[in-house]
Amino acid sequence: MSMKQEPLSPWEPDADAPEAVVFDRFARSAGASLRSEAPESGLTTIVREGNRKKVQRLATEVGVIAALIVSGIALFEHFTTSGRDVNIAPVDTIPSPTVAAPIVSADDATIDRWIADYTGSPIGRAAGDPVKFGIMMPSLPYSQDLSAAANYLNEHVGGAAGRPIELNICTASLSECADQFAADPAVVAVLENQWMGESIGAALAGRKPLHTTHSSNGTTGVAYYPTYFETVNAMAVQAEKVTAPGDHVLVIDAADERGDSTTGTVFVTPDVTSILANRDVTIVHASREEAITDTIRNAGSIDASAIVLALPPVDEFQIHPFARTACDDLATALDALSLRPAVIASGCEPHEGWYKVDVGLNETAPDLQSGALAITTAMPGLGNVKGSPQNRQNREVGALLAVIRLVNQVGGPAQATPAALDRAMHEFTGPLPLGAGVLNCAPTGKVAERVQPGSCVRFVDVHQFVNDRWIDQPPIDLAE
Amino acid sequence: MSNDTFLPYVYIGGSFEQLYRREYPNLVAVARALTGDRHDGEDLVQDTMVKAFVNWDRIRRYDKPGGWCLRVLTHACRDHWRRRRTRARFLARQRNTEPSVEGPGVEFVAFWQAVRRLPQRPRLVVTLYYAGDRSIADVASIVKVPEGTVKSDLARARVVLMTELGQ
Repeated sequence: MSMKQEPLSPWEPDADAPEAVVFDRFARSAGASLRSEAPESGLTTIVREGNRKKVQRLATEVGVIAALIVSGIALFEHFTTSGRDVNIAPVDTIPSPTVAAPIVSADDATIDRWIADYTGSPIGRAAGDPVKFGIMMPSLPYSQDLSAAANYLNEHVGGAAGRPIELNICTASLSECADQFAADPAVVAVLENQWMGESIGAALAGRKPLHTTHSSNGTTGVAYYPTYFETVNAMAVQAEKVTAPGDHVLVIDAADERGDSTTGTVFVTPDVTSILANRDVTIVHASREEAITDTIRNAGSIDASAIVLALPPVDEFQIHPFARTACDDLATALDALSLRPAVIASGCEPHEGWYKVDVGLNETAPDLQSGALAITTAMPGLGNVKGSPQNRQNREVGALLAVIRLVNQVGGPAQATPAALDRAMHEFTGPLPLGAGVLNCAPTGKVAERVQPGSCVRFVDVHQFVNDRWIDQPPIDLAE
Repeated sequence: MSNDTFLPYVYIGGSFEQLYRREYPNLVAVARALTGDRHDGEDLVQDTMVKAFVNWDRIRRYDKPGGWCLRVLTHACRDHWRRRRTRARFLARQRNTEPSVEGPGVEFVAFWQAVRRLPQRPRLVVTLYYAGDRSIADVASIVKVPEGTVKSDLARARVVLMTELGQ
């Protein structure tokens, strides 16, 4: 027999309370009726199962490391035995992600190794003259998180090119900060996240390289910003690959808010129409209020051979408000309408046959495929800053790592002039979509023709979910 | 340990056991509300707690590890729900035999069945608010929508549910 107190009758008339209060009381009782104490035996089961999974994960990691070592030895033997002729130009290779598997939780050594591989800085304490970065981030938690990250890098992974990172945090006006940064020869680059307002890019006017975590129309000069447009363009190329001329392709822009005044799109630029010029393309903006079933019907796209779903990336930690809903709703809609088009998306959970196009640095998560998100989450000292929006700091810390990588790539701080970093960006081919100010990244070919200016990515990876696993597909070459 | 014992939401230095004891009642309520099945709900909560245990070194640093658990759980419930739909006919037969064990009263069963017929977001919002016993701010944070959206979802759901349950 239940020991619970008899609940109130669901809709008991109450002259003193409005209907809403009665409902609220009833609903709370309904909630309480489902609760039960944590079973004592449950904890033991959870710990046992959890430990089993930890062992499994460790075994997998050891297996991967062993495979890498074996591959490394094989590669070494190949090069030592085949010989090389320096007069022969290197063969074009398709780049693969910097580091393959994202790390869910990591110890310091794992974090250090990942950062060293990604940035090119040496493992160990930084020494020598500091390398300065100008920071223009009005919200204190961001600056605090960056400071924590810089401290960690200085202690563990050689700061920037082996020298300690010093953050010059400026809280004055855009123009004052720009002048201050420009006047300091030790400032190598500027990082900002003025994503709600005018970019410091115009004030800097190319006097220092700028990395902004939001691509603003005011971003000018030598500047780098995250981009999602190239991923969407790559999705359009994939749609072209899996359809025939004249086929109907539906492109759904699932941005949170309407963008373009006519199509309502945010992520889908005219480049998509250009890429799919030989297809019957319909581009729509998916509304949160409208079921995707209706979106497909209203767009007259029941006969679509392919559907491109353009929405920001999703992962375990950072969930774009609409993203999961849009993916699930699309799957449900296709079931309801008995449609089987090729589906090309970027941030959805696995669905049989669906294609996934990789994303890189973007507004939501830095360098998702490389594992930077997991690393910045796991870095000691981060995530605990009072008032910091959960996980938001990953984007800014990811930006710092990306800039350090560029600085190392050009040969260190002394060589990291705006012009040198500009060149480094020109040479950037991917696979991580990283936009760059007003640069013209490729003098010829499709990349230069695209409407969205200056995005330097060339190769974007594609996978298809088949029989419960992701199968790598030929990467998209946006310059083809 | 009493349910009333206050455990701060900052788990830095706190134990996994504290998280387990504090969060389990609300997690199981949310899972039962979303799945409509006691045993499935308990299984999903256990899976969620295993994930929390495996990732405890990271999760313990969050301001609200319980929020993380709820987010993981609601995703698991949604996947579970999706899988179940494909077996709808079988489940329809099963549902008839469901209340054989001690459980919520008939009115409450009807209430949660009506909640499960709501569109996805309002369903989640109502469940987290009433079964998960979360504040509007917490629900907004877990569902990743503004607080105003949570309030309007609750208000609209209230109207729909009152109509559907025939008050």
